[in-house]
Amino acid sequence: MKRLIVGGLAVSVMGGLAGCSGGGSSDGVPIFEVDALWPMPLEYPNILGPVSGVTVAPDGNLLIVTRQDGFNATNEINSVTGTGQCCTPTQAVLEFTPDGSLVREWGGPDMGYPWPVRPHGIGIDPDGNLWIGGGVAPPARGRGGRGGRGGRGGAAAPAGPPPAPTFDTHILKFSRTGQHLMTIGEVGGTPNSQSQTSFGGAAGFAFDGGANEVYVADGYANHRVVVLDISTGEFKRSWGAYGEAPSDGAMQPYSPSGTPSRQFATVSCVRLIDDLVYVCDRENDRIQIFEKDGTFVSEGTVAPETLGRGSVFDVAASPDEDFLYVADGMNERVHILDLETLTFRTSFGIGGRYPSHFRELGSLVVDADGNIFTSEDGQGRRVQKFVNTGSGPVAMEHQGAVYPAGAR
Amino acid sequence: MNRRRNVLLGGSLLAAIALLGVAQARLDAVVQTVQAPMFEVDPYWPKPIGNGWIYGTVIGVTVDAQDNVYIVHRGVSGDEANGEGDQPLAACCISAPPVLQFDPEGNLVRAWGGPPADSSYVWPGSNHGMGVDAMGNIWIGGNGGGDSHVLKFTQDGQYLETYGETGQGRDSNSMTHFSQVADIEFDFAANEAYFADGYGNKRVAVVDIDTGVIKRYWGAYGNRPMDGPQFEGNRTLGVGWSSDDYQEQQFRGPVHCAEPSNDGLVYVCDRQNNRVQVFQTDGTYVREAYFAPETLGDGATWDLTFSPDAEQTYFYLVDGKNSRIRIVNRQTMEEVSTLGTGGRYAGEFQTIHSIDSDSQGNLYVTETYEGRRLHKFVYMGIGNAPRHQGAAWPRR
Repeated sequence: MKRLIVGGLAVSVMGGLAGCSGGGSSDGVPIFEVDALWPMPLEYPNILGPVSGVTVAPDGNLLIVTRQDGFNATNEINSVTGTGQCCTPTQAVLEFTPDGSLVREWGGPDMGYPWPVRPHGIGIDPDGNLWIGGGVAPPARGRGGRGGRGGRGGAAAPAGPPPAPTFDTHILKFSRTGQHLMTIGEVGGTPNSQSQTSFGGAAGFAFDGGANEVYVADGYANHRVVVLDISTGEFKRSWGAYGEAPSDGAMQPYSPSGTPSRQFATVSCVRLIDDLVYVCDRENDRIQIFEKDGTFVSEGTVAPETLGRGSVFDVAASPDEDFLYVADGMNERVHILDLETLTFRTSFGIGGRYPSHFRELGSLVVDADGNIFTSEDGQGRRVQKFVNTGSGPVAMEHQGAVYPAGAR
Repeated sequence: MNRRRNVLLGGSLLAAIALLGVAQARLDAVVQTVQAPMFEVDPYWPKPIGNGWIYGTVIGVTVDAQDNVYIVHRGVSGDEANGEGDQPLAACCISAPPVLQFDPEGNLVRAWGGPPADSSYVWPGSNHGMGVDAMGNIWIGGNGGGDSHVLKFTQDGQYLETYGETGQGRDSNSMTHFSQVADIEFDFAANEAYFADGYGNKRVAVVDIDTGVIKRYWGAYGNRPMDGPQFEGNRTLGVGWSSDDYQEQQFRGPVHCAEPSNDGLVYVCDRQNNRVQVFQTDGTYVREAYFAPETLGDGATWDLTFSPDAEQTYFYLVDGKNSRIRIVNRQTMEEVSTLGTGGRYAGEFQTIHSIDSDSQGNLYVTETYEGRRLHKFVYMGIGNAPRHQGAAWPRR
């Protein structure tokens, strides 16, 4: 994208004419504005941790799962460390009404069930129960650690080989209000994409009420989609990229000019849209689409020049199923694609910590009115609401921040 | 719990109950109200800075006579700088230049700073704090190990002067250099600059604005400052702690602000001692007050600025450890209300650090560590304010 400096102001201009390849969209696309005043502030001194999943219930309430690790012991949870009055982490799961009021919070470690070391992903099934996955906790990270970048100084690296990462190899199922219903999969196991008894960092869920099946994005360590029985958690089937058998073999790092991998990298989402299964293959910058039995249908790439952690963290469809929204936590934006063709139309959002800016954007969900809710992991630690203001042409390939038109 | 409803009703809760009946009595918290300056956060100020730029820790803020707002920040690294380099991993993000100037509407108008291409000056190892003088020149300190100088630039980033020698260590009685200056403010009538000196030194240093020559300096209670751990006290605080028990005769530091008022006093933030000490401009000790005195670690008194009325009735004290701005009556030195809360949304803080105000009484506050924002709180006049104003969101 070209940049102009006009009168000292930084101004972005689109890379091409509207409607041309890579340059905005003259046909109508949904237009979003951030609502910086959603949800309501928590009571002092409570704060959110990294928000690692968001879902919407049929009644419109929003549920998020937060991580309890990664707080800066130097100056963040001072009411826990006894050095000050603020702040105190909330519990792990929070539910908000559509107007942003906190309904309840519950869950977390040491509550009588094996809480994941690094909870990720939350989904609500047709019975109204909640499913929560896990991830991979890197070594030397956890509570009480001195924040690497935050404090002055910082702890010296410990001697000896680094400790191994910790894997969450199970899934938890709760009632809407936090009653533990089921633990699915072996706790504290080893990731294995062939296993029928454990998972490897389950990252997301999709539900097929008619078939009583749940689809699991498996995950941060495994490289597959798994289908389970909703009621029993019984393993039914699984598959890897292109519908082939999943593999845990070594993978070449993703390269935009390389041969597309026959294997999933991080499987960071799974969605059921119009009876098709949409899968996020994060580091490979792609979405793969399958029949429910795992038969490969098609694929599309998103910002395929993206390296590192990749561009496809999560996806969700517009209510009319005309558009697919992609959470991209590497480029820190939401891409809007045509659902049918997976063609890029426009994007919004930009890196940073202000409204409609993102820091480690990880998940998104769409409510019945077509509004988007995003969640930020890492140091972002917010769930943000983007109001769908209707459809129209968009001149910008990348819209950046989407402040309300009436902002002073 | 519905904070907004409480905030709106707070001042007239009894009347509301009488008018609306018992339903209102179900409000779960009665909000105490006080007469105090009231604020609303502007969540959409400043405007996005574009260019893929992002701030790091925002470690200083100052407002000039035309209500332009300047910040100094430290940039980003690691996975927050994925847009940098010859072969960037992603489109986001790139560190903005360290000094950014915004106009009163929040538009970015200038961006500059950082190490020079030549050796004409030494950019601080860890820039920290800034002030703008009557000429519109920008002064910048630093709290890196060898940051013993202050830099002066024109408003558009042209280098002017270095005050103090670079690369020196701690010496709180030096007449030729500083040690890790945290903040800079001015007494224009006296043509003097006040340095909060600082992270290394434990003193207030007063310098001539035109030459940077040190004119005088002092430590806590106006004592001669002393360096060394033996002068940093042995603080074992706890419940029941009283300031009577504890009158540390040296600044613990960092000496994090030194703000001259318009009636000939100087207000000094002794951060890890959780206190503000007040002096005459010659260094004569006047009084002190403690805030959240049981605060440990980084401390409770980080920076302050005065209300813009002729009497400077209030000062606004940044408490980065407890995530609140304390609104303090300057005459009584008592907190009357607070502003802000913990968190990552508008009006919420992850380690607020610096503060300044404009001619209209609006407040500009920055966050260090992982907050990394510049917030604007719009002044709404004196009124019936909640005892704790919280995130101070505007009414819908």
